[in-house]
Amino acid sequence: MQKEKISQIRVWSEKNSRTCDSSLNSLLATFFENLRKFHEAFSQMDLALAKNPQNGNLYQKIVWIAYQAKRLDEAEELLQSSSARHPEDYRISRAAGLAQLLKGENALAVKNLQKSLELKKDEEVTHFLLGYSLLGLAEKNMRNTDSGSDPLGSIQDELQKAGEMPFFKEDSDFQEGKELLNKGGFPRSLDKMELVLRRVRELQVEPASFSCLALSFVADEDGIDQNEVDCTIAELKKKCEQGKEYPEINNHLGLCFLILWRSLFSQAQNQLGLAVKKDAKFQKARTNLEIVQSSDRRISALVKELKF
Amino acid sequence: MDGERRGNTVLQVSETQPEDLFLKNKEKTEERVSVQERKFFRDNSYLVETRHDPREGKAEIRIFKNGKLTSSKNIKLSEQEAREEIKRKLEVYHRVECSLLDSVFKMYGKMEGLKDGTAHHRLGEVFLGMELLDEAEEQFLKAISKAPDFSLAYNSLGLVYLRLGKKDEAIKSFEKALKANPLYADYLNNYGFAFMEKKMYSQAVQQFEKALQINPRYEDVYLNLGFCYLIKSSSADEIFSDSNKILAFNYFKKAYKVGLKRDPRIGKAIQKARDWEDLSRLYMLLKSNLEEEDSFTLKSLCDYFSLRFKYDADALSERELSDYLFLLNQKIGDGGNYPDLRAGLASAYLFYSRFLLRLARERFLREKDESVSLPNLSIVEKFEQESDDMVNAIGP
Repeated sequence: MQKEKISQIRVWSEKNSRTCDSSLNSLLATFFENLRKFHEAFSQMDLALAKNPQNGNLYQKIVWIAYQAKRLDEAEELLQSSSARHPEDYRISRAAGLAQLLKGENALAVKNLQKSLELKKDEEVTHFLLGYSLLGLAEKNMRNTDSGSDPLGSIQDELQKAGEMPFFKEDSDFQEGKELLNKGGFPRSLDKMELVLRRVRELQVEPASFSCLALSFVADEDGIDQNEVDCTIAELKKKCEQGKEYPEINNHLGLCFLILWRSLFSQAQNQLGLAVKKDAKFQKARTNLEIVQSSDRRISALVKELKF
Repeated sequence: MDGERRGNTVLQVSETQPEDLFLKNKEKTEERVSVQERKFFRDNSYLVETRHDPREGKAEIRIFKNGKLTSSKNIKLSEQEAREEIKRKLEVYHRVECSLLDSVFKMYGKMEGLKDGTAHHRLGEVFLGMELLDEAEEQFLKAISKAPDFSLAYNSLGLVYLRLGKKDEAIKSFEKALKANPLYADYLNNYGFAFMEKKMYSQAVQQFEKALQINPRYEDVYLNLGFCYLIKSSSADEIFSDSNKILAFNYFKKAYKVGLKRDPRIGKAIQKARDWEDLSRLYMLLKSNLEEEDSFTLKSLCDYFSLRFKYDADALSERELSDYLFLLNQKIGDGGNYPDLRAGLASAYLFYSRFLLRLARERFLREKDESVSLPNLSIVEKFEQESDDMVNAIGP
């Protein structure tokens, strides 16, 4: 990312992060995470959740950021208090399960993930997380020579359900991990699934390119590069084809089209400006420029009301 | 009605994939590439051929009407494009030309009931740009019948007559244009040119001089004046032995001075000019320089699209608009820094951007999280309203 753009977004963040909409805090978190500034990213997620504690989508994200910032305990505290307030939200118990999984507390993770599946069946990502937690548990038990019951069937079952989603079907590590599991190679299967877990997280949140684009747009509507928008649209469309786990993807795609629309609008203004500059007596161009500029002012006011 | 029925046939023909029609002459050492498409309208057959011949070193689009060549336009290709991307480039140009031909025929049908003389004039200009002179004449006559004082239409009709070799009719048309608007340098230049074609050089010079009084930086007029004096001079002596040759030389120098495009070959030709032959060569160089600068076809396309924005907005496809944007951007990118082209480009951007609003709306409708989708949908509706109001206010 260009240095100029980074500093522009940073300046905007310092001025507005306390008062802006929670979705923008969440985008700022992705932006800082991308810069590997995990504590700043965590603070933004903290702000986002304080402003919008009912938004279940935010929890999955804070867990991962907390894991990278090594602040999983704080995240878990947040999740527990939220879970008490929204016991019916499957996403909170799933996020709690993920937090415990990342801390290595697989048994607790299994309980929360099972609870999440009771609240919402057929969630492929939750099935995957549960399969992965059970796999970790089985691997630990093997190392501790604790024979217990044979977990293979349950793990295969969960991964089979996860595999319904195109994303998992097309993921070579997932498929290889499943084959290794069938052959009894638990530790190597676990390694493969860990790689899948990282990609699952990427599937669940907006790409860094979108957060950067949206924040650049909010900070400076006119400074948008059309290629950047085109690339982000292509990335989002690809995600759409992969699976269903990124809940606001259509909203984000809609916003990208609006950003592109604004960019063309600016280009139209530029062309009219150049026409008038080249021929000061070109009355029609001058009148049209005034019409476009006046419309632009009204549109700019509305842009501020967009929900990211 | 017949036109509409034939119009459907046109669409069926245009659905053929151009790739299927590519003809490659593999026997030749260098490959000639051409693509053709035939269309029918009002008992006439139109063949669009886009071709590249490496031996001639040029790419061009040609239109044949009933088997007779009516127009030929060169396509500017960089060396790299000619080497690597020729097939793809030709396909784009071919598609643009064919889709334009389809759309002008459709607009032709839509305009019948309109009382808008300007609209007929704009359609006529596109036909004129394609050298489809009968169709252009018909539109200009309709424009005049709907707006009898429409000087531009008389002027354009005069240009059609000039190209058809009907010089007397052309002169009458330019006279009518000037009667309605005597202070238009373009009309005076065309009027003078018609006299020039009739070899009535004194009358031509009179009109050119009047044109210069209105626009003293009119490159074409200086060139035409120079030509009149050159033709009146004897071809035997040196430049400075003959006042006509001196006048011709001065006008050619002036034409180059006021012109936009710099060409070192012309600068050299001016320095080396000694006799009648040198002056003739200088005239030819200036003339070709002027033709390269000419943006009539593209300007007529801008006017045509503004006509469609007004009368045919719902039928405009995203592809047609993006092709139009491609042509405009290319001309401007090639250095065509004309204010009216830029204004045309601005209108095209504003129109094209409406497709993006539509796409945004579709995505918000698909969004499950209503806490974001509903407010955004309501804002997009306001954007759409604002965009419609703005496009209507800008007008054609």
